[in-house]
This record gives sequence, C-alpha cells and structure tokens, in this order.
Amino acid sequence: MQRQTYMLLHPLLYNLRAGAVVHKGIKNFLVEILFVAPTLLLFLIFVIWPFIGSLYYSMTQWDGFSQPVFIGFDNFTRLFYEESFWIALKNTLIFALTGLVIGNGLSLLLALALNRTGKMQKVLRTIFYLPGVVSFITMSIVWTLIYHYNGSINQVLRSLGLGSLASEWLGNYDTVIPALVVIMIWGGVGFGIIVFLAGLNSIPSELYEAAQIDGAGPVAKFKYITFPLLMPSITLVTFLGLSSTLRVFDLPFIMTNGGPGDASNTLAMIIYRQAFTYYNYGYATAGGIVLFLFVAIVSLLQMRATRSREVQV
Amino acid sequence: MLKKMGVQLFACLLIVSLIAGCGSNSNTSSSPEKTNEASSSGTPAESGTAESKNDEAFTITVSSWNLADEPLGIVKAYRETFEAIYKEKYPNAKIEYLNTPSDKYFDVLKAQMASASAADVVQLQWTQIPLFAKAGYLTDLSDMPFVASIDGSAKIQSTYKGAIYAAPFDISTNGVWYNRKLFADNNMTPPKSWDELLQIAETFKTQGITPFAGGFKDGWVAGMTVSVFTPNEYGSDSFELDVYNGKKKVNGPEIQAAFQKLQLLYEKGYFGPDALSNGWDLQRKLFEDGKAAMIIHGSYIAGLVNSEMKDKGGMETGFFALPHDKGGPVLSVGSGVLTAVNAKTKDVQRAKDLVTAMYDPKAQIVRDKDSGTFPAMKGIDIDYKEIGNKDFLQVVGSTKSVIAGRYLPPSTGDIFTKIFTKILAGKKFEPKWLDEVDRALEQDKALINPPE
Repeated sequence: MQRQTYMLLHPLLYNLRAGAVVHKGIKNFLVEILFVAPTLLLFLIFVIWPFIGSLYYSMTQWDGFSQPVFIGFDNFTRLFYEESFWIALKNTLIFALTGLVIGNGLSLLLALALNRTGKMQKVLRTIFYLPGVVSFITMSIVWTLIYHYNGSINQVLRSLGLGSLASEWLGNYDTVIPALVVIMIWGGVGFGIIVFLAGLNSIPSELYEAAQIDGAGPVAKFKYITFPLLMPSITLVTFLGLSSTLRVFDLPFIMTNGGPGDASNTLAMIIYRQAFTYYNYGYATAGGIVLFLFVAIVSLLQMRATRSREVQV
Repeated sequence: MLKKMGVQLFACLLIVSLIAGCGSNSNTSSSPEKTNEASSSGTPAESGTAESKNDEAFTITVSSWNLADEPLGIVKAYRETFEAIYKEKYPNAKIEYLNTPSDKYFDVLKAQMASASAADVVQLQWTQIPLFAKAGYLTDLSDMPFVASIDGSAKIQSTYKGAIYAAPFDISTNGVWYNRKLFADNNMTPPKSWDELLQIAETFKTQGITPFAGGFKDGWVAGMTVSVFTPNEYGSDSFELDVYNGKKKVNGPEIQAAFQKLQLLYEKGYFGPDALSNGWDLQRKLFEDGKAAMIIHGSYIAGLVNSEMKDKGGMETGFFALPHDKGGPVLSVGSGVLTAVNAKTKDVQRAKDLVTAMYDPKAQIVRDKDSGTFPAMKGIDIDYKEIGNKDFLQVVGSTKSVIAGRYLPPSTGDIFTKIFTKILAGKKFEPKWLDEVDRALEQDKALINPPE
C-alpha cells in the first residue's frame, strides 16, 4: 500500500529508484512540466518578474518616465523617517484590528442568530448581505450624506436636544477613523455571515445531540463543539479580512482623501499618492515592498495561529 | 508517412502565410509616412496625393477631462464647431473623444503615455509638459501658427527647453468671487486691504451668512485655496527659484504667514461649520443660495453659477484679488487646459490640424463666452455676458501675477493641502508642520524640471 502511494505521488523518484529505464522517468518529468508550464510561465512573467523589477525600482529615484537613478536604500530610510508613514501604519492596523475583532465577532454572532430555519431568517440573511453587493460609489455617497454636518446623524442629535454633540464626523480627528470603521464593518459583515453560516451547517447535528444528552449548556456547546469546528471558516474569514483591510485604500480615498491632515491616511494611500500624484514611482515602490512584507508577515502569523486550532470531525 | 507529410505541408503553408502577412503589414504601416512626405512637398502630382489623402476616412482620437457633454451644452456646441472646421479639410474624418473625469484623467493619461496607447491629441495640465516632453511623448509644436498668438505665463507654461509642446486654451487665476447683491445690500465694495476683508467677513457672519463658502472635502478645492494665499506672501516669481536654489526656505516666514491667515479665518468661523463636510458642489450651492457671501475659486465661477441659476434669473457676481496686509495683491496666473499632440500618433499633420481647428477663434468663442473662460491666445476678443467676468478680466489685467508651481514638486502642494485640512479640523497651526514640505522638496527636487 505504502509502495503504491509512493509510486502515485512520486513517479519520477519511483522510476529512478526502482531501477526503471532512466529515460522513462525523464519522460514523466517532462510531461509533468509540460502540464505546469503554461501557468508557470504566466506566473513568472506577470508575478515574479515584476516583483523582481519592483525590488530594483524601490531602490531608485524614478518619475515613471525618465531613466531611474539608483539611490540604494534611501527610499526605505525616508519612508521610516516620515511621520506620515507611522500615522498611516497606525491607521492601517486600526482598520485591520477593528475589522478582525468587531467585524468578525459581529459576523459570528449574527451567523449564530441566523442559523435557524424560518422565513424571517432568510429575509435577515438577505438584508445583512445586501451592503456587500451595493456599489462602493453608491455606498460612499449615502454615508457622506449621513456623516455630513447637516446629515441625518446630526439632525437626530439636534432633534434630541443634543446639538452640541453634532460634528463633522469625517472632518474631525477623533471621529474620522471610527466613522470609517463603521462603514467598513457595515459593508463586510454580510460576507462573514455567509461563510460562518456555511461552516455552521457543516457541523453534524449528532454532536449537539450527544452533548445535550451529556447535559451540556449553550455556552459549553459553543465552546467545545461550535467554535473548534468553525475554525476553518474563522481562518478563511480572518485571512481574507486581514489581507484586504491591511491594503485598505478605496474607503478613505473616496470618503476623506486620507484627511483631515493625515488622520485617515493608510499605507496604500501613501503608495498611490507618491506614484500617481507626486510622480515618485521609486519611493512608491519602496512603500509597496514594505506593505507586501507587512501583509505577508501578519497573514502568516494569523494563519499559523488559527490553523493550529482547527479540528476535523 | 502521409500524415507526416501533411503536417509538414501545413507548417510550410503557415510560415508562408505569416511572411506574407508581415509583408502586407509592413506596407500598410509605411504608407502614411510616405503620404506624409508627399503632402509636405509641393509638386502637382504630390499635392494630388495629399488631397486624396485628405479625403480618406480615418478616426482621430482626443483624450480630455473637459470635452464631455455638460448640462448646458456649451462643450457640445464647441465640439460641433471645431469638428465642422476640421471637416472642411478632412471631410471623412471621425473624431473620437476619450473622456475621463478629472480626478482619474491625469493618472490614466500618464499610464497611456508610458504604454504608447494615448490618444492622438491629448489635453493636459502644464505641470505635465516637462515630464512628457523630456520622455519624448509629445510632438514639438513650435512651427504651428498659434505660437505667435501666445505670450506671458501661458507661453512659459507651454515651453520645454525652448520648444512649444502644447497650445494653452485658457488663462486662469483664482481669487475671491462675491455676491453683488449681498455686498450692495450692505453698502460694501470690494476690499482694498486685508483688514477691510476681515471687516466684511465679520459683518456677514453677524448676519448669519457664511463669509466664505467652504468645500474642502474635495482636496483640490483646499489646495487651490492655499494657492490663493501663498503668492500674496512671497510676492514674486523669484521666490520659488530662491527656494529651489536654497536661498529661501519653503517652511520660512512667507509660507508660515499664509497659513497663519488661513488659521485666522478658520478661528473666526469665516469658512462655516460645514467646510470639511462639503464638496465643491455643496460649496457652490451655499454661494448660489445666498448662504455664503464669497467663494474662493477660478475664472469659471461666474459662468457656472449663472448657468446653474438660470431658472432663478441668475446671479450678479463680482471678483477681486485676495487683498494683502503688506502691499498689493499678487495672483498666480496660468493656463489650466493645454492641448498637445502625442509623439506616437500615426499622422502628426492630421493631429496638428485638429489642434488648429480646436483653437479656431470661432470655436473658442462658442466655448468661452457663456462658460466664462478666458482665451490664452491674443486676438480673440469676447464680450462676456456676465458682469463678474468683466470684473475678472479687469483684475487680471491690472494685478501683479506670478506663475506658481514651476520649481516646487507636486508633493509640496499636496502637503500644503494636508496642513490646511488639519487647521480646518481644529488643530492650531504650528510652523514645524511645514518641515515636512521642506523635506519633500529636498527629496523630490530631482523630479522637477530644473531652471533653464
């Protein structure tokens, strides 16, 4: 059996070790390469080669048109020296962490609440998923009106006699990030609910029945059955959520343009601005490399942390 | 064996057809160049070739951010006028417009230029000319007839290393537009000094009218507003050059003074409580509704406001340069829209002829009269309908002006905008905020065109 498995998984090695004719092993290898070649070629051309190119451009001063001038690690030094970089990094982390904790937590809670049969649940699932399919431009217009100084939030506050609390929600250092986080969670919670619901449906009901017989309460059932068996879904939602929020660009770009000042600036916005507004492609590429490393490290740590807790039935 | 022979035969046929295909392509691509050469010489046979070439059906592309239809139909009328002029020479030409909104257009244009996929004729801003000309993306237009009709700041802005690379469409500057009725109701006249301006603002504020409409959610409005305050403080064209050469500092007293004035206006509440919530559309609405007495913007305001208020009988506007507390005002004057020819265009002459048609005085008058655009070319006299536009012309003609942004990289302007929005969010201006501009200048100096 072992021999058969080995033969299936490693035909080339098997042929060579079993003393088969060498050219047969090479032929198999070539066939394998032939199958992989088209994808590999595209991957090399469109991913690996540009990435290698980016490493070079990140060490140049380049306006995107003229010949790049090699300046070593100056772009990286400048990046870490700039206060705006650290503010953007802090903002990016806030978006990522709030999305992770509040967004995923809310998605899980709502998924648990909606994991029942009934007409109301179907309607609610649709309602919660709707923001995810609304175009971002439409969404931003609506939220701009809500957060406007004369928008609905301030109108409600004024009608309650709390006019002193009325604020320019997107034009205030204290409120701009929370205001954007609300939009981000509102728009993303539906996706989390759908994935968690799929995960919840895959948990065998026998486990809950057995736990019921053993006298387990709702908390114990969640802690010992639901949560561990939902870990693959949590891994997926967390990974997708983190990798997108760490690159967050469109939301602050459209709603606040990173302002006021640098208050809602993010790493992706710094990169965009340096490249497309300042014509500083070398510096922007350095920012891109840093963002890539940042996303890669955080995502790897997250995958390691969540995957180790996954269990199979 | 037969199968092998069949494959070999098929392969041969394929190679032959490929070679034939390449040959025909090569002929096609070379033909316009040959015709071009013919049209430039003057023999009768060759001129016959040129005429037949003019009758050819072809498509020529124009990319822009301001040639799309707008509600008033002014741009459509302008397009139809220059199309008719162009078709006098090229009756079977088809002009295709590649319009992109302004917030995305310049990014798209850069990418298209770099990838040799830009339109035959491109509209652009003057800050892009050195970049594109240096990279060889633009055609030298120095031999075109319009060159003799441009001068002053527009000529400087169209030039790179002594050659003209674009035709400037307009002359623009930013200043303070005011509601004439509100001023008349309060027996006010345009202020001659900074203190007078503050008094006017205070009077309106006490009446519950926002002195200056704010629309700083849009970054370009915030940046433009800063650019109205800075020239007054540094006063002459030599400032940017001195900064470039290290004789003056961009974080020095001149720029600090400009931000201190903006801080003062904010602290006194002259921009209104919703200045950061409003975009450019709501800013205009405040002015049109009489909820704001003044609006800081460019030449387009009078035409735009009046057209938007057509149903209400329009609005009489006035224009003045932002007064200064230490001497006369200084305006930053320049061209906002320029037209260039892509160096990679298949037929340069056709593209140049389209530029000529677009700048025909007949077409320009159609475009400029109702929209309040001021032509950059000499010899086009327009009797503007709007009284504000007459004010504008008078102010531009009688006020000292500079060309701002020649020796400062784009990053500096963006940081100015950031600082202004910081002030509007309630942070007290600190001169050390300008250190970031100084650092950006030092680091990005190599990205701008050095003084000649």
